[in-house]
Amino acid sequence: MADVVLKDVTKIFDKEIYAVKDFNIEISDGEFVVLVGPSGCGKSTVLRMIAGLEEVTQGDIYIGDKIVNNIAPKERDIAMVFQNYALYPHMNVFDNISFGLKLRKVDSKEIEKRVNDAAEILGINHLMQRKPKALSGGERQRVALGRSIVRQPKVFLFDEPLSNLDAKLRVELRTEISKLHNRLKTTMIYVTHDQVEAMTLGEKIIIMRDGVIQQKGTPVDVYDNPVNKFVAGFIGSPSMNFITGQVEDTQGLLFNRGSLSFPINSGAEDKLKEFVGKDIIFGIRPEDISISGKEKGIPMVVEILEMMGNEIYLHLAIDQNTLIARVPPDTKVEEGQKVKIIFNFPKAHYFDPDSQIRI
Amino acid sequence: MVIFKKTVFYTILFAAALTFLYPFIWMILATFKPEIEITEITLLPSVFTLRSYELVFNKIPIIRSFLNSLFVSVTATASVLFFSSMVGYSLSRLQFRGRELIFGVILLTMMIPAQITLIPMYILMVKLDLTNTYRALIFPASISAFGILLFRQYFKAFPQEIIDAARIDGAGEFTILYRIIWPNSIPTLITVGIITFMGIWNDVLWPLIVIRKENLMTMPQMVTLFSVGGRAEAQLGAILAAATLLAVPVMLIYLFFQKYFIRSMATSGLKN
Repeated sequence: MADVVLKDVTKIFDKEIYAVKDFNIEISDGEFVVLVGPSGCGKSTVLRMIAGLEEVTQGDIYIGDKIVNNIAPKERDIAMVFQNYALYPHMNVFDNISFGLKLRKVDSKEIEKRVNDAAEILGINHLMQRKPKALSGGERQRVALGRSIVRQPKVFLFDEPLSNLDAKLRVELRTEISKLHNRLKTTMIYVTHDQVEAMTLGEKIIIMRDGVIQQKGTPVDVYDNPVNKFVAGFIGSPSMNFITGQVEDTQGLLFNRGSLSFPINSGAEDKLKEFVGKDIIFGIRPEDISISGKEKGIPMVVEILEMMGNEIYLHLAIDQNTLIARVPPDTKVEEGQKVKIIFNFPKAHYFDPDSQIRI
Repeated sequence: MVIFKKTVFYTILFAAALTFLYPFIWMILATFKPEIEITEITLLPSVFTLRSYELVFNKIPIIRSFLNSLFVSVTATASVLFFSSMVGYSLSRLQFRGRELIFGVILLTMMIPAQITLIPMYILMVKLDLTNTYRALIFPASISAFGILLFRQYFKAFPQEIIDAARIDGAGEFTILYRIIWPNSIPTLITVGIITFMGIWNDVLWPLIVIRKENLMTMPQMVTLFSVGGRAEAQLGAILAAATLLAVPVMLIYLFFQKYFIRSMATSGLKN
């Protein structure tokens, strides 16, 4: 078990491409941290640098209190689970799981015990003699998990481990990984592009874009207080709605975007005063839009209605402006219907269109 | 129509196969004929005789030369598999300065005809005092540019994650190559193995140059000397019998491994 610290870590490929830039994180012992971001944001590179599979161009990586920049992967005492399982095709499950222990000259009785324990936890005892080819995707990833557990490493690294699985298995294994963390209490670093995985698994999540950390914090904190438009749009599904409009001052502040104009009354007036006469981006999450039963509200038309069973996604439009709202499943609306909507203003966000930073 | 097409197709295939097989079948059957019948048009012998073989075994140490060939070919092939895959691995998977240049030079050596390097090679062997030893046959053949090329191409397509996983599991480069990649490269190993083995087994020129002692001679060398050197007493049957004995081991090996060989030829360069 160990802390993992990255100090000003930078990775440059081919002398000019910055894959990761001035990356700083401190992960305390036993913490579950998720690195999330769109593909190509450098999250996997960070993980591979921690694993020692990729050299660090600048900066230092600490595992425990040791700088590991120049230490080979096998000496770092880490285990890694890969997206495409990376099992050894010619070995059966038992040999796959025990390979690392054999290389480390662990006593054969001890190997057997550890492999059996891991197999027990993951429910794969009956598969021990099979080759990876004869396993389903979910089983393969369990074997890969087993391979990392038996090593009893200081740090677990996960590189999009669930991306190749179907939706149902993904949920199942997600819970499994959560349970594993609760049981082992080992530091875990998990990379994903799936914000649902990030929100559900992470004690702390780190959102990355173009090699730079955008925000770190607890899932709730990141969801409720995104620092910029990118984070606000990336976390949450369906994404936050963004509308660009002008701030006007007519007996109180007004957000003006033609037919989609409304008075700003969210308590954010003070901050927005300096934007009078300028453009801002208004952001509101789908669940913070509701259908008004009364005359009050902004008129819009329901273009498409997506019934999800437990909720409805309404694609609303007026002129060129579109919004997505998330409403309870018993809401009485039809496609083509004219409705009036209300925003939950205390939950609304405002972004500077130039810097994209939240106001 | 389909049947007609098939008939034509198979007739052509059969004719082509026959063109290749006929001389070979004729040779084998001729070795069992009495000497006088060999030049006749008939395929089957009127009397079955092993006299030609007797002559070969009496005149030359053919078994000894067979064992020499076997030892040299097996050792050199094992060495090619071991070293060429090592180089192929470093050229495809390790990062180091000048990697592409080295690969280019290796490719270049494939373009130089062996005849050009024959004399310098011989001089080298003399200087190293290796003439008339097995080492003169084995050392020059113990790594091959062709093998390196084939291994490099195949290893390039090997999934990087598996190598990464092995590295994290604690494997060094040798463990990765010989315990992870090798077991998953059987068809390539067999292809390189067969081609190398056949090349070394069939080589006549090089042994003729570096080996003079009869007890070190390889089989093709021995058979060639036997055929053209007068010891066969111009007996065609004996010459053919010696040639047959020479061809049999290679054929057996090929038949045994052809499944892998064809599979590898069919997939090389396509695998992802």
